[in-house]
Amino acid sequence: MIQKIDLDLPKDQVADALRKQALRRTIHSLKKSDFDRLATNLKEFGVHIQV
Amino acid sequence: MKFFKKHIGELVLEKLDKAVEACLAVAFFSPSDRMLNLLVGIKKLRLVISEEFTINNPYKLEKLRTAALRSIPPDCDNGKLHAKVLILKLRDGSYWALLGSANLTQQGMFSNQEACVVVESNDAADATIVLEIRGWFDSLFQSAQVPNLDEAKLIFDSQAQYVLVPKPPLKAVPDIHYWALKATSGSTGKSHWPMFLAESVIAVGWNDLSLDPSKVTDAQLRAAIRGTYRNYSAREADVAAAQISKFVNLKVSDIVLLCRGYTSNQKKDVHIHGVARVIGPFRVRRGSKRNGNSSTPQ
Repeated sequence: MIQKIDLDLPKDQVADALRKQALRRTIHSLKKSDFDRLATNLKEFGVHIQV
Repeated sequence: MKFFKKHIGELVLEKLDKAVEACLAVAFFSPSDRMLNLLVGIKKLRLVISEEFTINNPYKLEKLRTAALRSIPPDCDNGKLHAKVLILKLRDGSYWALLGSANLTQQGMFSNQEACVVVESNDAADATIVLEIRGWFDSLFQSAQVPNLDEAKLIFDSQAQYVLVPKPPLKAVPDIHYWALKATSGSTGKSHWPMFLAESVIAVGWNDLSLDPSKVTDAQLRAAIRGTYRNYSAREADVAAAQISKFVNLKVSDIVLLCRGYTSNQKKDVHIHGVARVIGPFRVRRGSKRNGNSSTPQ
């Protein structure tokens, strides 16, 4: 199940939320708190995670 | 009059920092935190927005405590508000106005392809039109109504800008793991996002491997990678094997953020494609020219 978002976020905002200054490899493990921070940022742009 | 197609957000930030009064009429309002803070600092602020609270963020509107807020419903007799107009009175007493396509949103100010013009009262050629724009705003403001932010929050909280099919009922899920997956090939830069969406799968590459990575040991997988990708160093093969293993071991109900990768010194925004919930097991798909051999049905 895929929820389409298609949104550009400032890199620093993404890096701070995910606690990852770079995302170079294919797949990265995230903590729930990291994902939740990004979801909160997305909500500010009107995007609600619903998966 | 000056025309702007780039750096509109930076220009607006610079002018807001010098503004003592502001009159804004925009269809959509969800500015960046920095822009919102500058607006909060303007003592005399009048803002008119469209009553489309699935997008307009009432929590940000609420922060404009001293502002005079007005809204216009989409079914207004005079038509819905579609204008994007910023009128600022600067410290020197002059007026500066921006008109164009850019909404007061992060995307409108900083990401989208927008086109705007600026007119200034201290430019003799613009003085008359600045007066006309101010008059237009005054009329618009008078015709608008005070928004009910409590109702707006209910709408904002309950409706997403992007709609997803309802989630299936889940059985007891003991442990959900979270992941970020790049949807773009590191070697070619090709985006696999369109395929993800079209086929409702997520996937990783290494499609030249002839074995099923879910049915071999880590050592066998590393050996296969080194045998297939002969330009890989031992470390690169280990890294690739670890990446494939992580993907193979995704569990049903895991949540996967799908985005472009980024580097530590990158200035460009990061594109968030979407979010996936794993609803099926890993499988190998062979013979695809579009993507790797490892895919997880969604």
